[in-house]
Amino acid sequence: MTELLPQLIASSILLGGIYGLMSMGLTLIFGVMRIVNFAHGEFLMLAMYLAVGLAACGIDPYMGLLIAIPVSLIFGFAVYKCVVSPILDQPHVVQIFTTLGLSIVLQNAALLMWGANFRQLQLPYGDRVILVFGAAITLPQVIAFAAAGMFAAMLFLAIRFTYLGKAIRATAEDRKAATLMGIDTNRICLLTFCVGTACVAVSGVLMAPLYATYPTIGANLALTAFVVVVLGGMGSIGGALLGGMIVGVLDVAGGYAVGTSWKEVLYFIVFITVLLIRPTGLFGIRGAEEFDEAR
Amino acid sequence: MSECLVAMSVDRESSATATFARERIAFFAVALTTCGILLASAAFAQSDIEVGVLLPLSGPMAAEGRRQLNGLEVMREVINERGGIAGRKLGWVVGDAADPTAAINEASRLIAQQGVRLIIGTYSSSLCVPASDVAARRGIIYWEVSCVDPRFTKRGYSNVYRTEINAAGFGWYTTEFIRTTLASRLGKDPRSLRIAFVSEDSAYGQGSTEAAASRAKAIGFKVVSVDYYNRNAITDFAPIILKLKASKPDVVHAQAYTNDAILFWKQARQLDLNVGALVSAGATGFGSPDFGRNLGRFAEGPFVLDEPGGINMKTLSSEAAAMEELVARRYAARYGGEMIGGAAQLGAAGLWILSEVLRRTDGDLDPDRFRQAVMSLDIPVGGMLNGWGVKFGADGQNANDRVQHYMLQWQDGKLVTVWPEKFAVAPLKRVPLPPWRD
Repeated sequence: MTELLPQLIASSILLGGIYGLMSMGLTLIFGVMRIVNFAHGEFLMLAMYLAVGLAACGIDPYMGLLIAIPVSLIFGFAVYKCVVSPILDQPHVVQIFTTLGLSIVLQNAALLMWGANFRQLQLPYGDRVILVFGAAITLPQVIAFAAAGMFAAMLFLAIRFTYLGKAIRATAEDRKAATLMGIDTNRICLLTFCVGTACVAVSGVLMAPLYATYPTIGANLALTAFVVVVLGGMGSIGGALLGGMIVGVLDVAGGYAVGTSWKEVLYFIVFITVLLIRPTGLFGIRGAEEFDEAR
Repeated sequence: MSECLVAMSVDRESSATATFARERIAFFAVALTTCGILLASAAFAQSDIEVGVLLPLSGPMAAEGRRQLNGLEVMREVINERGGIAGRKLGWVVGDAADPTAAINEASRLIAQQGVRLIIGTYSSSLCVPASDVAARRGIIYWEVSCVDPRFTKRGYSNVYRTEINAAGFGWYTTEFIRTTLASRLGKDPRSLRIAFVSEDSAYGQGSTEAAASRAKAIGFKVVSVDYYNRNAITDFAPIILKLKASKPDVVHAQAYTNDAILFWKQARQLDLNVGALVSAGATGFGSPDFGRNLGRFAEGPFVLDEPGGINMKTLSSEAAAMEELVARRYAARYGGEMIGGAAQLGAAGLWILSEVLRRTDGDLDPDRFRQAVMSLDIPVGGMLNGWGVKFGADGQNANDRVQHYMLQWQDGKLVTVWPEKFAVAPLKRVPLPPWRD
């Protein structure tokens, strides 16, 4: 057991970083705009396909981020204008069905375009193992983890210390009051959606070397992302990272202790307990959890 | 068509009053419906034995579902080229059963709206049970070519048949291979051989793992662990792999779908899990072409119980050998050079057996006559595609000992038949598996 401890700790933390990374875009969109974006997983899947496609053209996926980020900003803008903006003030049922519909469309579009086969991105250096205190880790895991930390720090600082960040927080807290204070909440929403989509794209590209890409991978990962976001607190970047870590530890260490088939039970028990004690999640922005008619 | 033209010419002359507009719409609707019926009946005339095909063509199982459909298509083409069945062409309508709910809905649609009287399917154990429930309740024949859930033929239905082996057969073959061949190659006595089971937790994984585990215990293998996981939620195999590193099994018996098989083997390498051999059963997961394609040289070595990856042709009847060669060639030509693999072979073989049944009923789909024809089939091993034989039991299951199965091994990027010896086209290699970090 003791010789396995470093590996359990390393695997838990690295997986937590990946969960945190894939949840950051969602927490922005979910927390600020209060739109439950069921197509989040599909955005992730599209980014993974983009990485696989770039690799097929000989472009290293990490260099490919320079392409993926602008592409995702444009994609986010288009989706916002065509799909999200019209439903922003609609009842939640409408929003849920619209984003769910979008997810089905994207999933099937991927199936049509790239087929159902599984594609594992192979990097020449992707599987090289680095031993740290006896724990085996790989470069793509470390990069994903580092990116999660870096993005969390950047977004946290931007939201905490810039005027724009203040406007985003105000919008998350109470959109109507923010409008009355002279904030163009529509622009804030557009910006948040585009930045959120870019975050998802980054996480998708960084996850492509780790997991096989196929049309429904996003749907499989999205549930975990939702748990992480609500656990950490909607709209909270640090919360997404911490929530990711908690789920990562429960996944790996919990899975080791009580069996992998129980891992979801474990994290849902923690999830429900946290929500009972703190309905806003661990670091939720006050007001963000209320699905009210304040808008 | 003439109705359509009349409708249009009448419309051009009509005035634009509201009443006329309504009449015009009604007239168009009638004309279009008539055209539709004419076109539909033309389609029926082309393929007059119409059956339903139910497979997962979207969703997580789509890759293998589509391969199974490809196998069916190639076999249908061959059947129709050879004059069809009693002079009638075989045609079908396809339903997409992405998940169990869709399987139920699509089975109902094929029966109620398309009027099919026989359904072929369904690739997965999670789909075949619910879909065949719908068919059986409506007295429709269900012809399963792929799923292995043992419960499928144990529900007392008289119109439900399966050409493929069931999970108990999977378990028998994998443990038999380990007992007779692998143990000695690993330098182990079967009674001291340590085996660990890892499986995804659907009916497919659980059914085959339970069957293999119970026979492993009966033989006297030491079962060191049995671990299940949800293949849709698995993102890290570290907990399972670390346990295996601690328990040091000689053989890992793994049942997976494809995303999890790739992830498991990738992480086994990263975490330096060294075992003597990995044995799996089924056309998916470790047996999927995607496994070899994605892992390249690191896919070398695992064993997969499946349809043959090349077969000693001398063990087949001349008719079966010719068909084997034809289907493999057609498949590769039609699907971009892809080698025919398990899912497609199951489809092709199952449809060939069905065509033999239909020949005996002159294409009649009356359930009683059909059953009589099914029960009358008695073909020895080596007489059909995949080297199978045919003898259905009263429960509708093709006898496990007639559905010959083979142990394949990933060698040089291909799955090749290595066991049983008389069917083999290559010797066993990489036993025990070399350590990853060498």
